[in-house]
Amino acid sequence: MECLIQTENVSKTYNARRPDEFRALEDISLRIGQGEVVVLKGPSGSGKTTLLSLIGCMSRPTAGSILVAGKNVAKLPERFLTRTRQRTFGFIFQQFNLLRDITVMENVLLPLYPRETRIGEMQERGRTLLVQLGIESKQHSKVYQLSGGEQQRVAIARALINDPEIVIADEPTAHLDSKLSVDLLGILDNINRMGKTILIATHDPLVYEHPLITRTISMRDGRIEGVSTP
Amino acid sequence: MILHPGILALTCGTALVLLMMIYASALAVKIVLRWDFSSSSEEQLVLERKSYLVSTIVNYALGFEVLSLFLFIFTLDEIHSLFVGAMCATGSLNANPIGWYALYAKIVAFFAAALWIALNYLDGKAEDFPLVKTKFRWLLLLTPLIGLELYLQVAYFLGLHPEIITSCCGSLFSSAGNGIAAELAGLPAKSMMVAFYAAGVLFLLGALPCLRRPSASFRYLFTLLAALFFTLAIAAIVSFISLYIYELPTHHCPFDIFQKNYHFIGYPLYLCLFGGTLFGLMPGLFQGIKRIPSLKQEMERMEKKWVLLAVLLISSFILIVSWPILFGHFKLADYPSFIF
Repeated sequence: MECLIQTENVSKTYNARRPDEFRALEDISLRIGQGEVVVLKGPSGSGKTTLLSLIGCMSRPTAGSILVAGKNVAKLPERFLTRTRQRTFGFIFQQFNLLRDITVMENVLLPLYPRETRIGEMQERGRTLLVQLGIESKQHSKVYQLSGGEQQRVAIARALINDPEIVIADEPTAHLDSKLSVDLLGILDNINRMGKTILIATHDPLVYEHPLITRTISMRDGRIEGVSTP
Repeated sequence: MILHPGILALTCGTALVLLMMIYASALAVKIVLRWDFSSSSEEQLVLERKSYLVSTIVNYALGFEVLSLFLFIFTLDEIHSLFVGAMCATGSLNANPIGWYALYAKIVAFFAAALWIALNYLDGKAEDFPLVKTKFRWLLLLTPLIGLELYLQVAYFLGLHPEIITSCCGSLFSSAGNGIAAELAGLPAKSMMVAFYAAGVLFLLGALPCLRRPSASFRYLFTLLAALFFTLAIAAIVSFISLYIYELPTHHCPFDIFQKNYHFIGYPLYLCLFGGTLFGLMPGLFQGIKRIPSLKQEMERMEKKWVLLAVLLISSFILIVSWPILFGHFKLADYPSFIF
């Protein structure tokens, strides 16, 4: 399997050289292959979300290298980092992070605006995704009119609109009941079948015990505690 | 010191720029000594992030330096009425012995700052910070230059007193006087006109091979032609261009043209000349950057833009100065017939 993500001795320290210095990650080295579905599990404060945000180019490591498709994103200048984040990653957040007062379609299309795609093409891509996720009928609804499960699907559509290589999901089932969580895992399975690599941070057994998962990385106190393959 | 808004803005602005440059110099020393892009150590990552932040700050600080040349001239023109005998910025510059040195320092700082901004722009176009050491080495040289400029500027402004009796441009830029200004004013108008237009045509023709071929020799030649044209243009302004703008056969001042009586024509005229020269200098001066693989493509694209901008600005300059020669009422007695 071709290696898509590789981290080497990655550390992240907040408030470095201050009295309230906090080492969120220490010497993390791992390799993730293309098409894998990897779960980062561990208690709150173990560093799962920090590691996801470093791999997803949303923050920068204090030391170490992070290779994404062969490019060391830890050393990229800000403007190139933004471009990589836009084109390589799709994000599904715990709180969905949707804009409540605009429509479903407008939310889904948001990541495309900086890329200057033609509006017709954008809408076509948005509509295809909404059909695949079964919420096409809601495309003109405002976000606050949707249920939690529907909002999650909108967030997934938004994550996929850029056709990213890697999908990152941070605690995606935190606000869903078990039925909706199973539905979500079904959707993630379909996304994986499309060839996407998926990274999930969770402490929900329903997720990390699902047959879809190819590897589980356990974290504690900013370090990797163990790796298990189902 | 005369508390004129321009003087206060220039003094405070240049002092702030110097403070920023001193702060940036501390990082520049670290970068020159410890930069190792192949490393992912904590120190290297900190240097990479700080270099980005500091470059951005310096970029804007030097942007002020570029614009401050014109603010300096504007201020000199504004305060001339305070001095007995002064009729334009020349009188203000003559009000004490430091004035001209302050102006020369500002001109050098204009080109140096603009070239650094261009270097920084190019560095930001690649993912691997290819010019970071070069630009921070230059920054270490720029800091003392800005310091010298601030010193000369402050010494000059502190030495200005309203009771000073100064000499006007008429006596300095007079063919009967002594010094470089007088020599420039005394240059034969007809020969200067031929030399000026020949240099202009050569410069514009020099742009053609630069736009068509990637050869380094043509770019070095273009840069040389830009420097030659700049020198001749300054001499030409004093020698004959000023005569046509003022419509007076003996008035050679290069500063009166900034005044309202002459529709502030000096600002677009010098902006085009200085801007055109700057863009003309870049292709040759930055030729070495093309050897950096991550910037080669970007450089080839940028070079064409620089050449086109240089051509556009110098052509505009030639048009501005030729307008009164071709369409004005004033004619020199020994006027060459081919110009009509």
